[in-house]
Amino acid sequence: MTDLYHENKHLLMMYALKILRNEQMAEDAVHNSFLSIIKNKDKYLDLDCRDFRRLAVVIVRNKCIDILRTQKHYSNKSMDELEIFLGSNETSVEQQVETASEYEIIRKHLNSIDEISKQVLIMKYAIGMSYKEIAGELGMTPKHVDTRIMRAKKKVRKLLEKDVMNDE
Amino acid sequence: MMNKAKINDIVFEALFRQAVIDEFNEELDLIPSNEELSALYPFTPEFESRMTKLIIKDRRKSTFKKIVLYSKRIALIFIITLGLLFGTLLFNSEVRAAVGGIIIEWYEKFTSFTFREEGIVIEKKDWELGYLPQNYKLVKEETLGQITYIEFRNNFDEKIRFSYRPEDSNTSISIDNENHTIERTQILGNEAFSAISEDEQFDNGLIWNMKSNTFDLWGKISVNELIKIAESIREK
Repeated sequence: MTDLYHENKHLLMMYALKILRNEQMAEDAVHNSFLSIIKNKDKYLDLDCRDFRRLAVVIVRNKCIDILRTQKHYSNKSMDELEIFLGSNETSVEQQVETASEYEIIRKHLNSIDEISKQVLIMKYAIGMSYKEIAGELGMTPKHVDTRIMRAKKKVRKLLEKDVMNDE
Repeated sequence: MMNKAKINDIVFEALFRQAVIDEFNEELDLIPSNEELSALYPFTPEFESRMTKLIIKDRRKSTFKKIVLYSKRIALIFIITLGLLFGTLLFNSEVRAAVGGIIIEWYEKFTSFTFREEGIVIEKKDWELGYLPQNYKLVKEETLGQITYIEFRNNFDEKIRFSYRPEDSNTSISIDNENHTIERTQILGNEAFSAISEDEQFDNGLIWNMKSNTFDLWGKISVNELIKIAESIREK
C-alpha cells in the first residue's frame, strides 16, 4: 500500500487540482481516494500498475465530484448546475480542425462533455462498470446514469452532424 | 465527404465507445513522470502526516486481521483434533465407561461417586436383599425423597447399612479415603467399588450401579461377605 501511495499520489493530486482548483480540497480528495482504495484493497492490490492507475484516476475524479457536492456554494445546486461549473470547452472545440474523420470528430467533441458525464462514460466504457455500480459510486440512480450517457451521446452526435453539414 | 445519412446508430455507438476509451488511455499515457509530477504538485507536511497515519493504521489493522485469522485457524484445528481424539477415545469401552457412566470426583479427604446417565428419567424401584449374614435383622427402613435407607442389626448391635437411589437423583456417595482403600470390583457383572477399612472402627463398604440405580452397602464384615449380600439383591 505504501508503494502504491508513493507511486500515484502526485498523479492523483494533478487530477484533483485540475478539477477542484484548490490545494486544500485537492489534498482532501487524494486522502479520500486512498481511504477508499485501502477499504477495498483486496480488489486493487492484484492489479498491474497501469490498471491500478486507471482505477485510481476514476476514484479521485469521483472524490472530487463528492467534494464539490458538499461545498456550501454548490450543495444546494442541482447536478446540472455543478456540470456548468465543471466547465465545457464547447466553443474552443468548435474552432478545431474542419476536416476530420468521424472518429476524430467524436474524439474532439468529447471535450465538450461536462466532467461528471465524462466520468460516467469513462466508468462505463473504459472501466466496464455497470449502471448500478456507477450509480453507487457517484450517488445517483442507475436511471440518472443512463440519462447522462444518453445526453452525452446526443450532444456529441449533434455536434458531429453539425460538423458534417458544415463540411457538405 | 461525409453524408449525414451514413451516420447510423450502430456505427456511432461503436465509435463513441472507442473514442471514450482511447481518450482516457491517451490522457493516462500523457501523464508526466512521477519526478515531474512531484515537482509540479507538492504536498503539504500536514497531508503527508495524515497519510502516514492512515497507512500505519491500515498496516496495524491488517496485522490484527492476520492474527485473528491465524488464531481462528489454530482454534479450529485444536477443536477438530480434540474432537477426533475424544471420538477415538470413546471407542475404547473402558474410557467410555469412565467418561459416560461414572463421574468420580476425588477430594482431599473424600471420594465422591455419582453414577449418572444424562437425559434419562428413571422410575424409582424398590429393592431387597436376599441374603444376610446370620442373626442380622431389619431394624429400620425409611425413604427420604429418592433415597431409601435400610438398616440391619445383629445381637451384638453391629449394623449393616444399605441404601439405594435412582441415578438421576443428583446425590453422590462420599467415602472417607483417608481411612479406606478403594478398589474396583464387580457386582453381578456391574462395575463396583469396594471401600476397605484401614481401621477396625470403620465399616467396610461397597458401592455399585445397576439397572439405573446406585447402591451402597456398609458393615463391619468382610468385603467378600458384603459382595455376597450385594449379589443377593432383587427387585421387590
